[in-house]
Amino acid sequence: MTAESIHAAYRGDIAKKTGFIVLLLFAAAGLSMIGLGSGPMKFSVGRIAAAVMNTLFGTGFECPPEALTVITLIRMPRVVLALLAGFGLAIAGMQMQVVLRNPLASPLTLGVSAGAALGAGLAILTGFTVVGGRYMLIANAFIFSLIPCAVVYALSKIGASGHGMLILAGVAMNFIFSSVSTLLSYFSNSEELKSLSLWMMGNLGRATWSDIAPLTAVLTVITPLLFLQNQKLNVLNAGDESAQGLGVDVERTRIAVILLTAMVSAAIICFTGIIGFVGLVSPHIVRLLIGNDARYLMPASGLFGAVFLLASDVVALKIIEPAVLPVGIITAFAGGPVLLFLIIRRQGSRGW
Amino acid sequence: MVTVRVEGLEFGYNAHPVISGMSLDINRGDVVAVVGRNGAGKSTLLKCINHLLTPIKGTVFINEENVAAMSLRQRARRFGYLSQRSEQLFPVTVFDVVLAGRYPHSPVRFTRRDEEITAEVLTMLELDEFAHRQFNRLSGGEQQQVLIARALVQGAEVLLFDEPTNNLDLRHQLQIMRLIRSVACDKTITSILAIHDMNLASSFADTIIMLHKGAIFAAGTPSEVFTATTIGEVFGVEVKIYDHHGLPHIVVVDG
Repeated sequence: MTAESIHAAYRGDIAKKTGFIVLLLFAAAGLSMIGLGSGPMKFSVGRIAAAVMNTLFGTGFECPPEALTVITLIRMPRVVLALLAGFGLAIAGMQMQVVLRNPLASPLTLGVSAGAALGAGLAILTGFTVVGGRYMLIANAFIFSLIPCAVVYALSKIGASGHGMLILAGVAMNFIFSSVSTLLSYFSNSEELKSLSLWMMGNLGRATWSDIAPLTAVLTVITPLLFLQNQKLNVLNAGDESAQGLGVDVERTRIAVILLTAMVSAAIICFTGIIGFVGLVSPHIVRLLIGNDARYLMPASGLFGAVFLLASDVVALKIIEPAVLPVGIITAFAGGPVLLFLIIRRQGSRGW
Repeated sequence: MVTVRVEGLEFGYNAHPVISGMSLDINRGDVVAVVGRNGAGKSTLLKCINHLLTPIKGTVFINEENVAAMSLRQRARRFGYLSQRSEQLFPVTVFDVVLAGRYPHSPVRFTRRDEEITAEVLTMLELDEFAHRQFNRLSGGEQQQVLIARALVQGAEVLLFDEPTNNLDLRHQLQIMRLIRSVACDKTITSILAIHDMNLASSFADTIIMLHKGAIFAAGTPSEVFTATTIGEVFGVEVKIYDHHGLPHIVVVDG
């Protein structure tokens, strides 16, 4: 083979990966239309399209006010929250897995989710909040989810940054936070208990446009910063020593990615509650399809996560209509077996 | 012409010295083999040369430039480091592994030129048929060749090999050593190897540096360094030295 043909084959691979990303974009768009059509009230595709056009380009599209209200104020925030949360959890999981050199890393594994759950539990049950007012629950969850980040950061500062150590620290924090959460629920009345357990199961139903705004702001700032790390992540894949020898400041990259991904996860979890498996499983499925080049794996994992969470939410809405299941149950139900499959498959091959 | 100059190098962990007072000059285009017992400081010396480990004392110069004053990426453009462990955590193709060698030149994104250089080096080292295979599925010898390709793509002047022939069968040991030799001749690249096999070192290296207890015990040509006396003192093993086409060949005397 000549150098030109090797390069051409490489370019062909890149084109395929880009194609896969475009395909996921179409899937997300198509699924969004299905999501907007899901719920107790049925609307025609034309109505939904008109409502979407109305939101995007202002007035001028015929749509009855009732349909417009249901679609733009109830369903659209829900769909957008599913897309944003799925995207954010999946890119966070993918980058955590690389910098911690651990295929099982995800927002759940570092204890970020459990920290947020404790913050929410305290707000619901004891009224203890750091910030008052409308956003008290959200702010509390966010602030408490930063505790595990601080612990992870401190551990890496004192030199205990081996990837096994960080995951073990995450497990320990998961235990500590959930024991306190369990203690809280033991002393709560039935209404508080329901509110807390709904939150612990992950739920997109309470989404409003005023939740979407701050989450969009966080993702708009952090996603490009994370994308810039991808070049370094590709080098880090060769191991810490080799990466350092190739000019990557390994320790700094690791800390930056841990903090940024934890912030993304916390920002999502405080609006949605605990949604597991999206961050853990999405990157692995995409890896099987397009490989590990982080520059393509990250956007593709994000889009896959968005599609996965939105699809789960549609299932949650439809499976026992008119009742609505918490979406976290669906993601766990779908994600758990996938994870088992990946573990079994791993026995036969080298690496993930 | 001296490429690498080490002056008064000292390194240790928690007041436990691994290397002390080490000075040496290495000429451009030489293949230098560093030998010695386990724990003698071979790997530590290599990592101090490109400052993967920051020395406690002493200075390393590459072409008269102080390595300590360089940024991580500047160092990576001068030194290629080939560690013992080479497995990639998540599987990637050989092309991607080699392309990563362009990082010190393109830290934000790889250009078309980076990809072309990668393809050219893969062809030059006759690794073209591996280009799109998974790195982790290659044999140890093939992986070493790929890592040498990565170091060439890096544009490094000095290659530091931490036990490049470990776990390789005889055929692949020879193949890797020949490749290191030919890279040194063609491109006037200097190679420094930490290596256990003294007969391989004798056949392929211009200079031998024998370390003992964190210091240089002997340095020079293979014939100068590999004598029954030095090996006896450093390794505590009785050997006989035979002449093999003018180079020393070491045979252990079973006693």
